[in-house]
Amino acid sequence: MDIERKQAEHIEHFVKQASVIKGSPSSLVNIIVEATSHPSLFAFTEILSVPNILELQGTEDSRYLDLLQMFAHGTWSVYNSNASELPQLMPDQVLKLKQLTMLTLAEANKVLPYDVLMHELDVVNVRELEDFLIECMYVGILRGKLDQQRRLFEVQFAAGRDLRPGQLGNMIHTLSEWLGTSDSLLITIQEKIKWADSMSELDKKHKQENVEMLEEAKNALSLKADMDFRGHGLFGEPGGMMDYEDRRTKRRRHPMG
Amino acid sequence: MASSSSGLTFKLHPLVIVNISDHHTRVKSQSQPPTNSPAPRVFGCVIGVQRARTVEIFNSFELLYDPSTRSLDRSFLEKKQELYKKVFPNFYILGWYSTGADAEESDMHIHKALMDINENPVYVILNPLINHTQKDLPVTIYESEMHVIDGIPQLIFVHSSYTIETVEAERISVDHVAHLKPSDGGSAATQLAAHLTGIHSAIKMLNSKIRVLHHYLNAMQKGEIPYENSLLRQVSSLLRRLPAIESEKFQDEFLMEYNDTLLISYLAMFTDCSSTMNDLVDKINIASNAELHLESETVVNAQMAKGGALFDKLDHFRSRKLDQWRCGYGVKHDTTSGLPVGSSSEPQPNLVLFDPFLDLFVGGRVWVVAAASKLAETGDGANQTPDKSIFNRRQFLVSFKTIMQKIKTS
Repeated sequence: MDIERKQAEHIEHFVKQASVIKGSPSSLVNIIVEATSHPSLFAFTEILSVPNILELQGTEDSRYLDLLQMFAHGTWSVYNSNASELPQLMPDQVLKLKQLTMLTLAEANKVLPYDVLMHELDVVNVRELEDFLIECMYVGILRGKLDQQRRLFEVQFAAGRDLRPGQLGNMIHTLSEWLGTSDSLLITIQEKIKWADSMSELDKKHKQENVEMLEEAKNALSLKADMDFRGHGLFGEPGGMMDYEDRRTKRRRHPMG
Repeated sequence: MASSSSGLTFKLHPLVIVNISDHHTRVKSQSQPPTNSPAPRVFGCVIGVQRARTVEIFNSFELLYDPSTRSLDRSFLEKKQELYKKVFPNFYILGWYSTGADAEESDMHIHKALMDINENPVYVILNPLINHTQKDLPVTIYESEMHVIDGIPQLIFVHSSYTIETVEAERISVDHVAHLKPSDGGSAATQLAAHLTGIHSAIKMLNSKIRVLHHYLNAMQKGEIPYENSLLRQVSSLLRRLPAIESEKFQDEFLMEYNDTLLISYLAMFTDCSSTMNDLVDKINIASNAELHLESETVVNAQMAKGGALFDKLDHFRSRKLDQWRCGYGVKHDTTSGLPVGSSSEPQPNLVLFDPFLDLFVGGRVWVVAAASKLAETGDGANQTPDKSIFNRRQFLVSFKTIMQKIKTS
């Protein structure tokens, strides 16, 4: 949001200038032209709302008012289609309008293909386009990644343009959805925490049961072994054990061979 | 105690708090008996910088307290002060600290004693008793003021507010200490719970901030607050950054990592199972061999040799399959043919590797036991075969055939 801070002074300056001058349309026109060519100024709503400027409506210089509105809300292609009704633009203004066009495009998509950009901005080659994008990034209105191989521009941050009347409703709607999502996320996290706790409880119980079963089995077997031992006597067991050991070592040796 | 009216703002660094608590802990643990309550009070000096109306307390050091004279050791203090002056030439003695619940009358003596170094010393108290209900730090800062009580002008302590100011190094260490608890927790569940709780509180903060914005915009729309365009522009640019997690690339990487973790845990559990199985079969072998009568040692040896060879083949097969899985999995990353992106989170294709693997392992080992039991049956009819019904011979011959086929085809 540094761009807002940088703009704040300029906005104030122009608003003051515009409110001071009265009854002199040509100087108001000059102010408009100055504002639209200023390199760091991208917000025009405040200037638009100065009553002196609004008075231009209906006079012969209303074209400049339309121009100001165009800079506030419109794009380069809109300008081109209405070029006859609007005054000629100086190179600075052309650049600024194109930058504002970028902002509008960034509003719609986060990933902008080079072809679309070149079409919208009337730029012929990729080199020019990339230079233009890098310029925008230096000014501070855009932040993103240029992917030349896939011919994309990924937008990470784009400064806000002036609001159209209907946009506020959309913004509130988006915000409330965001709120809803984060609320449900919080609930999900809490449930996960409870789940983890309950699973660890179950696990502990399971282990406990296993240990108990093992103890029982051991006790039962030791009883049974005692009985067997007394029943069968020394029936071949020592011999069996000896043979088993021989067999074990021999078995281990063979796989090597 | 009344609140301070001197108008000084205090800034406290976490280093001071850590020093005081460390001093207190050391003394408490070294004193005998260690369960003695109440813990002895510790004293020390705080140093820092005073610029105009801001008092910033950076560091502290300990001082010897002489209970008999109820004063601090002066020479020690001066020596320490000299040493600290060499290292930190900008820092002055701003006051002193002690531990305890509240300021006491005897503290005023010490306070007055320090007044010749600094005309208005500050008194920092740390309450070492941990109170879980209290959310704030148990640190209070007092200043002294001359008040007229009962006609006698007296110095009393007055409470002052302070803020915590951190340097980057302090922030890192405090962060580290705050995150230290989960490793103590022990079981995986408590660690998970601790981690999730951290995330929960972070998202809760985000949630409350979004709520504030939402409320503000609503009010603006209804007209209660005049439009503030700069703010609206910022909010619109912020909202344009959403959704942040929905992109396809994110889904791809997320699912890959998820599959990786699932597979690794499956493999680990699996190796564990096979080693347990190994132990079990060994025990069964011992148990069954103990009842065998030696008929022909060579026959038995040959059978055991075959079993051993089979084991080797199985081990070899298992390690080859593991390698295949490892290499193949790497390839699957690029082609993304093996990973079902977005549809399910179960690593379906790779599971196929492990199932016949399991059959082989179980089948192979059990075959040896079956061989042993076969010997037992043909050898000495009088020998009672214990409950070997689970080792049904026909089943094993069938599974043995399938196992050998699989080994041939792999």
